[in-house]
Amino acid sequence: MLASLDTDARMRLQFEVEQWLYAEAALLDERRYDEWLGLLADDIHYWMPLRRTTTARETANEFTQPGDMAFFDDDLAMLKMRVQKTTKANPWAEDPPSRTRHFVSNVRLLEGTQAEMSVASNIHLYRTRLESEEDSWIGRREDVLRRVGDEFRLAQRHIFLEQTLILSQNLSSIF
Amino acid sequence: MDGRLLAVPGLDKYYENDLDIDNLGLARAAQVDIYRGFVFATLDPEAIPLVDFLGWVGRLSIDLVAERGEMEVVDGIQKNRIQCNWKLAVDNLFDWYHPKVSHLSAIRAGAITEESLFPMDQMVILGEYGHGIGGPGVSVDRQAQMDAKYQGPRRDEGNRGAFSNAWRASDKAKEQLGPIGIRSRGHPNLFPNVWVALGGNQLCLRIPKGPLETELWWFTLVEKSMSAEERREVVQAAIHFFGPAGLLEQDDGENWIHSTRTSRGTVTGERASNFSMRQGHDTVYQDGEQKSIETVVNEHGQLWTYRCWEEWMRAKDWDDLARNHSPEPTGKI
Repeated sequence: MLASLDTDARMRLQFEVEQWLYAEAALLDERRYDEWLGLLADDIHYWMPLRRTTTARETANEFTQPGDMAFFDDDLAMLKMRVQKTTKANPWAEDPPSRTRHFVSNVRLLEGTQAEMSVASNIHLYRTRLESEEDSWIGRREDVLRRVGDEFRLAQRHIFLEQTLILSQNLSSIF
Repeated sequence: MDGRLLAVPGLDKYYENDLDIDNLGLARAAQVDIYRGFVFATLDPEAIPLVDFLGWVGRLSIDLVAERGEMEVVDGIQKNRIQCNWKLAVDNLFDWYHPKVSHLSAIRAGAITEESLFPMDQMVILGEYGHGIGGPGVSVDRQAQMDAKYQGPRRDEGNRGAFSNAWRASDKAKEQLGPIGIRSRGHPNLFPNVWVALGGNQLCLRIPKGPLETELWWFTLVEKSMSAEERREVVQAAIHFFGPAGLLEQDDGENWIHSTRTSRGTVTGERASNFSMRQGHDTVYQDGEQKSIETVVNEHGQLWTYRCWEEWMRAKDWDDLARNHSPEPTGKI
């Protein structure tokens, strides 16, 4: 269990996870999507629920639940289709390609084992398109990293954005 | 909770009881009416009654949702904002010319087939006050074949996919939808800005936020009798086709923005848009009380929407609109 690791082992694991997340983000920003797909587990669940403004009393209902409406609710086949569309099908939304930059921070090892652990991180995804279009999305991610051999595979990515009304014309980037 | 002003802090001390409380309540919805569970309200006491506003085409648009069965809304309304004029988004729902161009990437990625996005048999239904239905339709013969096929198990016997049209085989559906409505597989637009999408499983409101900005609100509906798998099939299709991350809608927004931007150019702004496809080349068909235009890809729905919009904008008052709006087209169109 992660909780039973001593400080030294925990720091090593923290370093390993952070470096993996940074490298993964770099693949997306460098548009190396096929290599990014190679980091995913066969059973990945990539999900971004909807969020809504609620009163302080109703914040338990801020996010929609799995199975209800979401912006993303994808398995590996769907993510492959998104990559196929972006890279090989000249979509209007991504050709000319967006320029993106992922900022990943506040990485925390939550629970699990050395073999499979949940990891929280904050993300700021900046996108600019064409001459002057700019979008910026900020949120929290809850990932599950699974060790396969001496590598990690991403088995879950749940993304919780701060925006309730999405202020961009589309969401055609990977978070 | 009827909107009256009940109390004012400091009424005596600050206002010296000199306040017309009876006339400071909330503005009341002047008229509220319901059609098949859809609640409509207007703040205008002079507005025409709902039943007149909807007409048979508006009612049919709602029937194409309500007649599927007892419906419920899936939790969560997708909302996003696009820098386009709202009428371009409405225009787009009637348009079966753009899919092969706008959505070629979704076809190439294997998300949807070319045949489903570019059906040759088109049926347009135009209603008074601007309602319209455009998109695929099936022939009388084809509908009869489907009816024969579907005289089998009902959904509750677990033999129907989420997007099956088997519900149209019942006598009740035929009576409610009428001889033309039962054959429509198109996209209704409840004038001015409610799109009935995904075969009646989604509604999209196109809410103007000024001339250059539109908010899209996606509601998703499922039949209460659906199995968990069928419900999942609808929700997955809704998420993967429409909304800001949908493989179809990702590209629509991009094009609406640039069309809006281009229309503001000094020269382009003065040039008329062309909506001539099939104009003068089709004939309105009548079956009982219902009318349709059965043709190939066309621009009848778009043109009708703009024409009716102009009539609404020009009308001095409701009486003027009621007297002078265009009747349903007949004959050559």
